[in-house]
Amino acid sequence: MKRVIAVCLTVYSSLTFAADMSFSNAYIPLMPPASMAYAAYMSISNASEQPRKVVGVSAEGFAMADIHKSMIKDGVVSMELVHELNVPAGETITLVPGGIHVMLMKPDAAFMKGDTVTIQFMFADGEVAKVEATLGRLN
Amino acid sequence: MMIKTKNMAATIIAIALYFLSSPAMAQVQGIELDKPELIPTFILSDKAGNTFTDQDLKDQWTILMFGFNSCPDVCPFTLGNLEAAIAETAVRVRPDSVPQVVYISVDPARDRDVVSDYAKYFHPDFLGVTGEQAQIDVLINATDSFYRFMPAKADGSYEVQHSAAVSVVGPDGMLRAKLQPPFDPGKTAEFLARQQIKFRRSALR
Ligand SMILES: [Cu+2]
Repeated sequence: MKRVIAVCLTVYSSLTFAADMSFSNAYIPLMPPASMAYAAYMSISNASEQPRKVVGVSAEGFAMADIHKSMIKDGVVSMELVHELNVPAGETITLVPGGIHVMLMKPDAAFMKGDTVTIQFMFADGEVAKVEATLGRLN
Repeated sequence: MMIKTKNMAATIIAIALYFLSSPAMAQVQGIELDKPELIPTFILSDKAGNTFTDQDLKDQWTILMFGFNSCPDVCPFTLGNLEAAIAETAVRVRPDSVPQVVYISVDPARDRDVVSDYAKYFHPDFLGVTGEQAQIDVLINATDSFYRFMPAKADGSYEVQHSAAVSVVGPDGMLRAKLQPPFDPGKTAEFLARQQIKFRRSALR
């Protein structure tokens, strides 16, 4: 019986909403028609006393999503996969154009201004957080 | 009252001098070539088959930018910033001196049919072109730029690394300057306006 409870608790905690994490100003710039890739930007705050790690991401309406980091090295633009995104305890990290972004690939359909996309973040401890990002102009 | 007005005028002159003499701004935003270089013969085209060649560089200012449409972060950011920079430039220069922005996709295999719509999405006057690899490479070499296809992932998609800078070509078809990101609209407009003043002065000589 004890074991059953333990299993239940584990399952329950894996579905726990990441309450200490907050997301703000989540937006996705509108892209030209037929675009196969979008990027989402936002601020992620960690109100807890523990560092938190994003280990996965998915988005409704897109076949694939990843966390990427763009960089300019020797004048050349490149992009790399971010396997783990650290959010230090008590800090806020900001995803902005030209830096870290949630890359959204292969949309199911075209978007219009004001549409929203639900992005799900998976944390290293199994918790998840859902964020609504709004489609809008870049500037 | 009179004194106040005078002070105001002095301040305006001081600001103008600051902008004209600030070397830091020129270094950060744009690099002027010591010796302008002629862009050699090339031929690219838009979706409809309209050509864009070295002849189209004549009699207007042109900003050449390299990218690829599947670039979700830096390319749209650059095009958005260039749109703002051009709007800012239009306020400062004569209408016929507003540079033509030309977006060149280095990824014709994926972008040939959508390159023009992509560029026009950011501004109706922006031109989007691509072409044969060899023709793209003519412009890449002439502007000291770079691109490289990265290995394809399992789903067949691939990234393209490319130069971040854009190239400024004068109405004589010569490469005159390079601009570096982040393309601050005000500073970019200021830099372009100064390039044009310099060009007109050298033409009078
Ligand atoms: Cu990306």
